[in-house]
Amino acid sequence: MVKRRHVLLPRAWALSSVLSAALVGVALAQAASDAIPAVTPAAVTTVPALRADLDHDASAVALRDAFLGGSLDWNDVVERARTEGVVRWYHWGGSEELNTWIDAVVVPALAVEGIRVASVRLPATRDAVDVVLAEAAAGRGLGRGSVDLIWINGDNFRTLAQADLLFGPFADRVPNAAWYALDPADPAAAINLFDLGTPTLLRSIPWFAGQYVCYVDTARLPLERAPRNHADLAELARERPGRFTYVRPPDYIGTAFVQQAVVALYADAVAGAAVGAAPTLDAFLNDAAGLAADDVARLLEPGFAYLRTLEPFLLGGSGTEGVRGAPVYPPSAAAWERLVASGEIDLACEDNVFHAQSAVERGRLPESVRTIVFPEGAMRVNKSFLAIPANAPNPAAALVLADHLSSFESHVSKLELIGYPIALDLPRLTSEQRAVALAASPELRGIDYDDLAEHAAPDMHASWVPLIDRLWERWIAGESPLAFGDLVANLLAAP
Amino acid sequence: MARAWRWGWAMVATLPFVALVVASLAFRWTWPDLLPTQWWWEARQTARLPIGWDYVASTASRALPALLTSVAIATAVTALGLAVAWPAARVLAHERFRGRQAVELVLLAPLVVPELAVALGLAVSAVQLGVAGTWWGVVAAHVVPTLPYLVRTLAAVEQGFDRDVADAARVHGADAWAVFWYLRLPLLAPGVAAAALFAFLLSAHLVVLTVLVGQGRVETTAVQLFARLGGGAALDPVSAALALLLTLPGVLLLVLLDGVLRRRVDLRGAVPRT
Amino acid sequence: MTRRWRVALGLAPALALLAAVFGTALFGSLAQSLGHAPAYGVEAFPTLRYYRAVFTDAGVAAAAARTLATALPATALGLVLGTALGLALPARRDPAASLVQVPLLVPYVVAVALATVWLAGGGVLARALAALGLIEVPQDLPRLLDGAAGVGVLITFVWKQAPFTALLVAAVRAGADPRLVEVAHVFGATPLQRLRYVTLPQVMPAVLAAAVITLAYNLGALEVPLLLGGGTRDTLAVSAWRAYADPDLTQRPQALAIAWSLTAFVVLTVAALLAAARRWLPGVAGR
Repeated sequence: MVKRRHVLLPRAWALSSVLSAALVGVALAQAASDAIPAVTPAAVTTVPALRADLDHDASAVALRDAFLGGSLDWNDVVERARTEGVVRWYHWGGSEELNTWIDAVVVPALAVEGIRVASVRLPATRDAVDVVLAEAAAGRGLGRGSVDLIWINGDNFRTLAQADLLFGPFADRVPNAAWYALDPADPAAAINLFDLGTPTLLRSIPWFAGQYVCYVDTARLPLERAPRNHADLAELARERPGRFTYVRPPDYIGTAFVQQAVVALYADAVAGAAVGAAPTLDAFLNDAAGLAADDVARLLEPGFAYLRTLEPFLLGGSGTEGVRGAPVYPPSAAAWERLVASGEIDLACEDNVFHAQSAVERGRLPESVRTIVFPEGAMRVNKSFLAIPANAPNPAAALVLADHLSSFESHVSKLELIGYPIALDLPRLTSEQRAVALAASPELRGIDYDDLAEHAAPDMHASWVPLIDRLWERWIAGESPLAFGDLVANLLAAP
Repeated sequence: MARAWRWGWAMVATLPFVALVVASLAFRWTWPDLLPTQWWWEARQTARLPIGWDYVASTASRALPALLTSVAIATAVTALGLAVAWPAARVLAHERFRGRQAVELVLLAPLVVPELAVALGLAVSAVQLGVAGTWWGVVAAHVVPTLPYLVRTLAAVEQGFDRDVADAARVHGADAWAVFWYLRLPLLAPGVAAAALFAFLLSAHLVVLTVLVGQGRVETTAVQLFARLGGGAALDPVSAALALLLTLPGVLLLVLLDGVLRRRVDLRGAVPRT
Repeated sequence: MTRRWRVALGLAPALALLAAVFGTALFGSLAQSLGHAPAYGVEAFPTLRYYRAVFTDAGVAAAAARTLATALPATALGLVLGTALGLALPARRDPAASLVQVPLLVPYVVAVALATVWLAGGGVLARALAALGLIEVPQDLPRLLDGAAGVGVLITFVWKQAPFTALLVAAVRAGADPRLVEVAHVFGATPLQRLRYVTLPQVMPAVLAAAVITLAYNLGALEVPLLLGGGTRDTLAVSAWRAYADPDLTQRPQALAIAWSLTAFVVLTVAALLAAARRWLPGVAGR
């Protein structure tokens, strides 16, 4: 369900490169903490063999071997891409802006190179993964599948990595690789080499920098009353029942809201010593599979208990403590935003710091909307990537498109026209380029880059995502009568 | 009193569309404004990317290809449906035979089996048969809910055709071709045309079958709209515009049958599935 | 050509197509619901595990109850209003009679779009009430969409289906003998008696046909309850859809088991309706 996104703290452009490195470092320092295993340089550079159980196209294999082996000139890749003629890019398609930008900017640019970009819009990134898995199950290998490039991150990337269905390593071999720190020895490279805890092994290249931010309609909720943490939010919901809700997981944005609550509430529980012999917060940065069911339950329970007590005060809830009512959970971020626009709720969130500005410019939100800091110290940051499946039908064209989308010009155009943050490593930009990027950046509408940097936090390990989604479905939506610990144990025991 | 009641219903049936038109032309239309504070035509000059109807008209929305896909699929479904349903309807209208009730039951069965159940079953089988995500797979799937309706209406049309007239013509030397051309066609044409138009409409309106058999690769206007709805909050301009586009075929049909053919629209077979 | 051949050749294409497509759908999904789904890594044929889950899961029982709670009132209200409307439609051509048909000619997704723009918490209806000073914030109005009561789903079904019933009723009435009513009038029957003993029995076959078709549709409908239902109180069809959409592909046989249970549920409910009609309305449902 990736729909998107990535980290970038654009204010850094106005600062010196030293300072900007420090800013990005906030996320890096946490992401690269000892909770995450180091990637060995060997693992990054080794070219793994293609899966032997698949039927591969000989000329595609020849291209792959020559390219990954370093014996192919980029011009030859472009030449081969022209013969392939088309590239099928699968991406979350729920944004009119993104669809328009691809259609108006990317398609013509690649057409000049003689490559047709067929962009396939998905309701959820998971669908692209399903296609790749199904085709691999049918034995279709390199040159014989139907997906060339996917905008991906998190558990979707992890699924393809586990199935050994990723093309690469390519991220360091395309011309625009120069924009990224990719040397495993460089601590600044961690954010480009890990995708929610899964080592990318250079089989994906950053494309979107996400940071989870929330916005309020100040015409109804004055800024000074905007929540700054989850306790504030609960209090506000009780004071103004029915004026808040969140998106239902497994939608990307909905899962993100639940993840934030889980981390924040567990942090509070640990701080208040409410949890004895507790795992540390770092547990969320590691594979959940390494934990006992007890510990998983202990880690998740405070957040889920919080969400349950919040239910009566959500949109459609009863408004009375302990009586659920019929809480309404919108199915998507777009629906969440429309609830704010139609005056039903006061606050919603997105994974893009420029979202509020874009939505106001497009007429979707009122001018009175402002971005806020929420939750303090825990506004999670991550990157999402472009990856090529190991059975891509047009691998050369996929490489050319991935490279094109990684250019400075493409990132700036995306930033300027549709407010999608730049995913390039800021220290690698020249001061002129930083000025250009800053000028292209939309307004933040209420907060500043210092706030974003100060409150940035790393994202959870991808293995938690399916677990949280299923627990939410059973425990919150399904009103499971089981004790939380038993429910977790059941889920972990199921195949 | 009957007049007020029927005009009341006529208003309930049509006036809601006014809000849909307003929603499609709105730029900023937030609570508590009864009308948009800024309209599409005021904002479109300064917008950096196409908005509202401009977006719908642009290639980025893929609204036009989807509309063409809808039309192409519905046309194929109608042709295929008529080709198989008409002969069956003729038999049911004019012949008495053993097993007739069973045949009728089978032909009407898709009326009581939920579209979702058929679609889920087909989604799985279509992958195995290699027709998932293809136009032909979708066309074949659409014929299922269309068939009971076509058979019912065409049988009614055929029953209205007096076979004694044809016999009389034959007695007077008309060959089979002449009977078809000069008798059956002119007499049956209005009824068959109405049935065909409704089959077309039915196909253009199907969502669940199209989504599950087309696997997202066959995109019709109905599927585009379906993907954008939900969540219970206000309607965005592009969804409103798509809803209006999707209303057009039905309205054209009403005008065509009611006005041009001067024939009261016979919707007796039109299952609420449309 | 013999008559036998004419019958066989006439029926063959339709039956063959139906067998190929409809038959494939039914048997393919039946096999899957019984555990034959190698494509999803499930190979347990034959097993009743998924049906057992359907009948033991409290969530599914609740979904079945909600399916009835959604479909029955909507069908009943649609029939009553539709019959009343049908009796008010004149035999001659009439502009109102044409306009009334509009809901029949648009798809359910358009009806959903209309319901959204009018009935949403902050929709046109709520704004109109706010403009009149009757409410201040959207929360002052009971939730019409997404609420536990399912009012939005009900309104959408009725809006779309009452004209359908009306048309069937009007058509039957146009074909009925008008002298019966006159005779009743001559013999001094009051308007109410004429309606009760003459007109209603005349149109009852049309009402029953509409009842069967709309009830079967409403029980199995996906779009309207999915899009307007709010998401936490699903009907059987919506439950099946969610199980199918689950990222865990091994859940798909479960979706098909729910779909098959739903089909059985619809067939049984419709059969019960017909049996009741045969019992209480002899002469109408005889055929």
